[in-house]
Amino acid sequence: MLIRLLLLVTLLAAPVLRPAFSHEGHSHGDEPAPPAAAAPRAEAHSDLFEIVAVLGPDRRLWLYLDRHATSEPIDRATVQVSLDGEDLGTATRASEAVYVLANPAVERPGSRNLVFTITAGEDMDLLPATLEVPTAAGALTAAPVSSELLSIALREPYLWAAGLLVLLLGVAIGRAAAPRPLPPLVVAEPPAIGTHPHALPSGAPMQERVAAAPAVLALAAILLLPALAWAQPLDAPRRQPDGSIFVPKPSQRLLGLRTGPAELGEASVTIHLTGQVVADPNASGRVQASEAGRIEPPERGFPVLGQRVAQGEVLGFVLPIMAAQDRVGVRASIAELDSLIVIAEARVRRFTALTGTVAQAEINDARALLEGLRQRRAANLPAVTGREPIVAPSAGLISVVRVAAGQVIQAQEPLFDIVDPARLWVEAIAFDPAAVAEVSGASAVTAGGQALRLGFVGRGMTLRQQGLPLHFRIEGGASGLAVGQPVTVLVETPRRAAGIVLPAEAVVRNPEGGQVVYEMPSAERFLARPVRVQPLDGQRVLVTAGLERGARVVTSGAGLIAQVR
Amino acid sequence: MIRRRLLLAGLTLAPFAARAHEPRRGPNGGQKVDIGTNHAELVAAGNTLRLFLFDGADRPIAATGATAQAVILAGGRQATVALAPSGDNVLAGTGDFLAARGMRAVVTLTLPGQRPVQARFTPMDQN
Repeated sequence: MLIRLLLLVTLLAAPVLRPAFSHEGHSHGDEPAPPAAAAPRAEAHSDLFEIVAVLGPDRRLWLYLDRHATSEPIDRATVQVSLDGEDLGTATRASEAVYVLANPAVERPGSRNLVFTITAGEDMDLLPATLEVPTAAGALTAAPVSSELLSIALREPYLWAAGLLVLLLGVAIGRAAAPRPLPPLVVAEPPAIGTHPHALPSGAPMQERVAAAPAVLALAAILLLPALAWAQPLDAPRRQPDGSIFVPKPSQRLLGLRTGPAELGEASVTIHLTGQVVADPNASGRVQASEAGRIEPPERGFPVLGQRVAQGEVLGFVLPIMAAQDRVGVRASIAELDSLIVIAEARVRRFTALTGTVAQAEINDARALLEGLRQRRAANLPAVTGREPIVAPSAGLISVVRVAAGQVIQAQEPLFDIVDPARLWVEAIAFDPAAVAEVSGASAVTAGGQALRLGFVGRGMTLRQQGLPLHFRIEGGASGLAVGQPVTVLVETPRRAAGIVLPAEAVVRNPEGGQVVYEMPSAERFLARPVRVQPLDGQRVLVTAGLERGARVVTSGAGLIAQVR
Repeated sequence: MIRRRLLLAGLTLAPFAARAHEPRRGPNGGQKVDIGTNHAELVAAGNTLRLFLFDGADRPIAATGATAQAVILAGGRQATVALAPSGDNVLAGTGDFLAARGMRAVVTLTLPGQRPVQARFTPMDQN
């Protein structure tokens, strides 16, 4: 009931409240504040620079300077600070694109007007900002005592070192003044040096004490180190009650965050197809046996996977195998031919001896007959003794090996596949043939995110499994691809769509599963904008709704901002 | 639950709070921006600065008792100019600078009985 009442009052108060903080259709000072737990901070930007000033727990003013449009850190710039008209001097560079200013003036509580004069190369700019310094000094941090010590330690390192030295000295004196163990009453062995009978027993602890000093120093250094590292104010990124996300500049630097302006553009409409890598039929080959037989390796052995082979290279031999009946038949005909050859040879010899008596035509006939018989024998012989060489039909790499020495293979059995890795194609299946009637360009992305440039080769005219096959050539070469690898093919059509072109990395999924981009309305604040996107190619997307032009959008590191809880 | 309801109430309020105005051209040919809860127009010519004061509804405010200081970055040099009342709603001052394109100025204005407020001007860069 109370809640309802509260809601009602708030709603009723809305029109009344309106003139209080806004007038003439606009308002002043309605920028949402950073989380209450964060260190006091101020920010300012121009079209060139963006600066965030954070009053750290060490009471120093930490300055983070970036390019406004891209959020790229600016290193080695000169930042001159003035506070309420009083010149505080130039901030020193603390680390990459981080500047620090130590001046007691920044600790004065109240609303402080800061003016930064920034010089980075050729660019100069003036930026005003207002820093609200909390009244209570302890409110600067949750741990006031440690911060007090820390700030003193950081400001007066010599004092700190002197204190440590005094402590160590005290420890040393204490140890030296401690009662020593009494010398043993019975000396087991008479010492060789009679004048120093107790040199050995007290000498060993002394050495230990000397060795302990560096250890104590190292321990002190280790204890001091986190305090030094903590000097830079580290506020945790967090989700704010209004749904925006607060990411302080140091965290942004860690995430490598970059932004870009949302510019209206036009891009051609693309269609997503599933495809796979196939071998170019003109630059690949499949080695098959033409007849059944037993396979034998060539002299250097069978080619292995990934081996480069030249066209015409012998990859193996097939020894034809025959049924016993067939073999007997061939042997019988060879034997018959042998006997006929013997007869024909004798006849040719006889006729040649009787040259002049026998007609020349008869001699020629006998010779032709002998030659014919010999050829028939030669043709029959390989059937029982010969072997068929298997040659590579094209140059490339061996991608499949299906043979083992001595294996009996059937005719037409594939033995090797040869693929030229420089000439691969992509085959895509379009289930809407009308959508890909015109193809003006194409690209593909592998599951691993590798982008491939494609050239359109052709489209089939017959549906295969209800889909129309399209062939694309992979251009520009791509390493690490394998035949059969699935890819997502993006086919560009001549149709155009207007929208905001962003890198694909800028669009992330929110916990509800919707697609969002992160807008950066101010230096450390991010707003999730649900958008409607169309993929353009592997790297870019087209935002067609949900984003206004001119907005500063996170282009790199958006996925990490989405993780902030 | 209460938080969620409050958030809902906040969301219903949100549309009333429109975006603040961008820098725009003022009636005296200068650049007019928001300064605190008011508006101010800065006109730069030669080495003279004139600051016209308006309230949130663009009605002139009396400059009596107001003081202002301008930090100017022009031609790669920085200059500070003190502005004093010189008319109904005008503060004026001269300094060691020459108004040129790319000039930037940060004005700190103190109205009587109010906290100093700052605004950034690029008086020579518009249109």
